[in-house]
Amino acid sequence: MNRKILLGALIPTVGWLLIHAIFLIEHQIELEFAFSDAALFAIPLGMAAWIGGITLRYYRPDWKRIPAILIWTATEALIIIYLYDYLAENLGQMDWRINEQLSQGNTLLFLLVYFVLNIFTLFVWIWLNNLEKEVIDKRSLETEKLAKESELEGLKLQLQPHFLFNSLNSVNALLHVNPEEASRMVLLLSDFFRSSLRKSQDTLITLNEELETVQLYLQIEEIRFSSRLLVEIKLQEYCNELKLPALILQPIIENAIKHGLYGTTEKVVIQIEAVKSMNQLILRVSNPYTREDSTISKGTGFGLKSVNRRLYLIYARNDLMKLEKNQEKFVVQLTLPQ
Amino acid sequence: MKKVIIVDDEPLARSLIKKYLDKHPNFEVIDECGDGFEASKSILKFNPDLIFLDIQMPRISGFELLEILENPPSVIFTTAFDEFALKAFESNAIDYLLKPFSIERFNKALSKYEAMNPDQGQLKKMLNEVLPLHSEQERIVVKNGADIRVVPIVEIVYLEAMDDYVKIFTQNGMFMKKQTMSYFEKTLEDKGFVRVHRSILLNSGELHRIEPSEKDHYSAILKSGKKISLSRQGYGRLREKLGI
Repeated sequence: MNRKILLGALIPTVGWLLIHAIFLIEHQIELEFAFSDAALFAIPLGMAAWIGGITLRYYRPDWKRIPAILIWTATEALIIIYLYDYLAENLGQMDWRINEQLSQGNTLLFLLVYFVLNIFTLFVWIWLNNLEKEVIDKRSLETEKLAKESELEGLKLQLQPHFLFNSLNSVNALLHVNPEEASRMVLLLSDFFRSSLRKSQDTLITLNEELETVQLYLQIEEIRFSSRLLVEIKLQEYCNELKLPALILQPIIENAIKHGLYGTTEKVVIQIEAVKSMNQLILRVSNPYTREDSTISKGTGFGLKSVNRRLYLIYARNDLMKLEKNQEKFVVQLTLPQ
Repeated sequence: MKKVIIVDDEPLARSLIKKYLDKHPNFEVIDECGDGFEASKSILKFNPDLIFLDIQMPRISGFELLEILENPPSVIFTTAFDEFALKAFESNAIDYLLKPFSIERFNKALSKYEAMNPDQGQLKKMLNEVLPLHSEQERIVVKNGADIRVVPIVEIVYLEAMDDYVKIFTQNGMFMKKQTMSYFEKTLEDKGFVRVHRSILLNSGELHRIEPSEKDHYSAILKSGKKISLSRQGYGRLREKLGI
């Protein structure tokens, strides 16, 4: 970074050197004279710029301190001019200044130097600020990412214990009434938890994979709720390979089952539909629901809320889950950008 | 003979408890319910001595069911996983069964029930502790005769104390609930509710404007046009809540 500031300081130095020299040559000053005179001016200027730049690196005043910077650069400009005057006089190079036209006084010279130094300072200031902001942004992006990941893991974990312990309880019950079914249940549970553990690292999976897990889950639920459950899955072509966050469907289906099974002793049909539309995967899970349900609170418990939160964390959008209630159906619709 | 009702949304979970109870001839299962609404009707009808109650159920939770019962029977809770509830059970010596549970653990719970007299005060205390923490505390369950209503907190305009009851005024009518004002003040505080008067708890989101009425007194005008007079302290609390 220091080297970049040094290189940066060379720009006004060389620029000044050339313009100064060319200006003198235009006024019939000898080449050698012109350049040495220009160098007497340009080198202190470059040094001042360089010192200013290095200082800014370690101490960068905010906007309120601008007057201090202006005073500082003004002082530098004055020193440069008087140093130049002093050196030029003592080295006997003042001859050309006799020319009226050129010695319009130090005021113009001062303003020029002052302008150059301030512009240089401004550039360094902006450059350093951007650099610092980039570093901070990168860091906060990383912490944000970490936080999101751990939150996702947390949400997933929170979804599982109820299901796990309730299922184990069902296994315990089945051992007394139907040991064969108990055995089937244990195997299904193992498959389900194995597949959800395997998937916890990958954020996105295909609909096909998700539906396999869902099938396992549904078979477990069918046993738990004594085969009153009927699930219809309607997939549009091309949907199988579309991506979605792992285990996003499970809490929705869990919700549909809980609410669908209520208030009736008949078979309950839960529908899962998948449609591709404008590069989005649209999933609809619907369950029948009765009038009494209309009293239910708008926020439907932890399950659906966590789905919404996960979608927000992954896609940074809050409008991907929609709930619809009509006369006989409750529908959860997910829109998943591809 | 003790009358028992089993409340659980899973048939298998209910069948297990029935199975375990087979070994206890002095207990008779008179009904099984799959949710809290059914259970509240059944409890009124049969007046059981003991209920086995699941906490996590659709519609209303086990806790909400107990809250709306005038005289809740003795309870043994059954739950798969509920960290807040477990703490409340332990601190109030009310028995609970963690699913899955063994027959030994089940028998222990039954003998504990037989040994001690059910204490309703303790149950109420536990409910007051656990209900505000409960994950679904975004609603209030009220009961009018056999009619149970779930009132979302966002729909509440204000609450008014009346003797032992609190009147809950919502966008869809008024409901009564037997509960203390200070309970609601505590649980609804961080949901934007302010005690603007000794007997009024106002949803600050329903406020339209505040205007002076008599000398040194102010009234709140609600979005519905209703006028509520503010006590001196209530006016201060309301201003504090609104940050003015």
